[in-house]
Amino acid sequence: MDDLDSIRPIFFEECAEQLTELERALARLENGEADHDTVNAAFRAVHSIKGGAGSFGMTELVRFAHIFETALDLLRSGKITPAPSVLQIFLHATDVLSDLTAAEQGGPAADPQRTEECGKMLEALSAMPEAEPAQKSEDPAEATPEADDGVPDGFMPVRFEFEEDLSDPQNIPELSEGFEIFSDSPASGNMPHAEAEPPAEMAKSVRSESPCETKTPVLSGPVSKAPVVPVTAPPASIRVDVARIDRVMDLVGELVIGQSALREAFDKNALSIPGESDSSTLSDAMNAIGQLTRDIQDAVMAVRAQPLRTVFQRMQRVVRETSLIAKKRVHLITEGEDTEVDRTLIERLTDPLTHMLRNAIDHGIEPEEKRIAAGKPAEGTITLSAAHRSGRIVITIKDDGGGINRERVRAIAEKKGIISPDANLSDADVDNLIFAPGFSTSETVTDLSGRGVGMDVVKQAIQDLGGRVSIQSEAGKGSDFILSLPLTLAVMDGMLVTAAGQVLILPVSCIVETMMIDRKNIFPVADDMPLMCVRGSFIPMIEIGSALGFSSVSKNWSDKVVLIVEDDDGRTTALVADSIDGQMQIVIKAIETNYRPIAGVSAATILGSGQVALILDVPAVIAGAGKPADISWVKQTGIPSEMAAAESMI
Amino acid sequence: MEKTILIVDDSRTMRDMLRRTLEGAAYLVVDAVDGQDGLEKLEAMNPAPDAIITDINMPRMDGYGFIEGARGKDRGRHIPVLVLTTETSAEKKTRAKNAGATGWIVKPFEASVLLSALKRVIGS
Repeated sequence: MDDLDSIRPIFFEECAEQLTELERALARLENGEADHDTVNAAFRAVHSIKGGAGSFGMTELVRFAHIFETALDLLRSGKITPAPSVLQIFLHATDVLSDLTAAEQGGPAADPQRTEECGKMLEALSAMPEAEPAQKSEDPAEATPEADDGVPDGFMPVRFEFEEDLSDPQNIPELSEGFEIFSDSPASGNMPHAEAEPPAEMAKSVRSESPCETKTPVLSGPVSKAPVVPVTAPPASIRVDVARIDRVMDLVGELVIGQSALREAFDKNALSIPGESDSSTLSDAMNAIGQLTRDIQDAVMAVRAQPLRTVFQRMQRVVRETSLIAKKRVHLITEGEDTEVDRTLIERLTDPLTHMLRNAIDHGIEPEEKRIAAGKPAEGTITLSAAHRSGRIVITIKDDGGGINRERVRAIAEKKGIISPDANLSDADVDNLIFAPGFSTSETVTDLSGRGVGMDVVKQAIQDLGGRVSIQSEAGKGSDFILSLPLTLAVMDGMLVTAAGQVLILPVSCIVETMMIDRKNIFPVADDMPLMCVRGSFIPMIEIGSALGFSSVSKNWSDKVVLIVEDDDGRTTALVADSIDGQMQIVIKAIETNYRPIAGVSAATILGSGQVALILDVPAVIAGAGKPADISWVKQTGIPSEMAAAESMI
Repeated sequence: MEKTILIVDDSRTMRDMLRRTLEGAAYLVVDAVDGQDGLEKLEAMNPAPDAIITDINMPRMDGYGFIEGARGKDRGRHIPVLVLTTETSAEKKTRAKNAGATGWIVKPFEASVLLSALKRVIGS
């Protein structure tokens, strides 16, 4: 097959699906759901990978998948039970299989020693001496208690029959052509010269397996009946190239822009249309189109959406490996893995989640002795859950560890000069110190969760996704890390404001309230940063125009408006603009890819009028206020021509 | 007239590969993702396929179930069914045979082996 290469990507995609399926099945087995379907699903996943890998001549992968499959077959036929120690080996094997697949895909080579060891463990499952007939028990974990009778750690006594003469393909009667036609089958009549299989040989092979057939207790039910399970068929689906969906997404973006242009034109001309009834019909139609546009946008978004399952399943492995290194027993529970998010978000969540889970195991979950002393179960539990909440995705990582040690955090922060020794901090402030740049260093973080990155990097990664991280921690009970993320990275609700003659956009999500300026409430503390009194509390005022370098600091506050914004740490700031022009849904266009990064500006969009408007990076504007602005070009030339040309942004 | 082959395999990789091999040899191909789907496609195909190639390990309904089901239908009774699987055990082979399989091909397959097996069961 010369065009094998074109099937390769399909194979790897399928491998990823099968690995996810395998992890799911093993997770169900861990939860005691040892039904035939689950075991079959696990077996099939490995079997499929093996089958495909064979076609591509991936011998390493085939060899390991074959050993794995053989071990799973022992489980399928009831020769071993899904005891925790057995599942541990299977989970380990899943990781190895995943590594081998990744290696074939051009990733780093799999650790050959690890592969070898894992293969031996799998093979040992079938080589175990025959155990006492296990008592029937509802709980498979109970039926086979941990072995402490000299059996090597990690192995279970298993019920076992060896099929020596059948395990070797050489022993299977086979014709030299590589296929075999059964002579007496119903549909072989029209064959001109069907080769008859030597009846004696067939009979022998049937006989040779019959003893184990009769003696072997089967996991659940005989397999002679086809497992016609009344499962509803999975919904029909097709595979589409991501680029095509992205193209549709882009077009929908254009549609949104076109629609708002229409709206704008209509609003301008509505008054001049003679006859009120005409205008209201037109207005209704306009609203209907607006609604439809939003619906189309949602529908396309739904196409791009993927369940978080793949990421969450990957986290099982992270927890498995990390707890091994940390020598802590940790159980990961995942909830809401069907929650769908935009695929770009999925890809970019893996690293932050990995890091936070490592952090939870390393710093959150206490050592076993400590847990037992505190009256907790020896095994720590981390719950990773996801849910949609008011237009955002909320992902929570909850551990039942010791909670944040605030005294220690404070001490470290003081030592590192992040806070002054006399700083008056609330518990929440102290908790948030772990996100401070420079807080996590090799001294406070072990190799394990550290890996050279601190929690500040996690926070930055989440913020780059338009998200927020918050902590709720209770001493002795554990900590919750809560990530709140936007549903999509491509569209957001924006507030249009004018500052120094430029139309700018603020993300609606960060605006707490808007108000007219009352000069009585302004207190000029410093030259360039006055304070404003809002209901008794003083908040800093920043003029957007001057912060971006559009204009010099204005001393004239009359006729201006204030937008109170809140940053991720809950601090409020009053941003001053000339006017608020309305709210609209905007399509985010990256500036970096078309121009270059600009301090204080996160991205741009195209308004209905075709005009380019910059989207304000609110935290950056607040942080940068008072410092010389980096965007002098705007002051000199206005929007550069290459950006004004709408084509360059699309 | 071109001969039509029904492929029943849960692996997209395998289905794609089979399709290419068979279409390259001027067969028409219809594929199904599991035994259940295979039976439905078999019922729906007009004319009935000239041969069927099926996997064994599949979700919902496995290859044995599919073959038995096909043999239970009027139109499926006489269609040659080749089993294409990585399974090599004699027990499974016997089961497939008892279910009504016409032949057995081991994965990974050589295109030439598959085609010559097909030729044998369909006639040229």
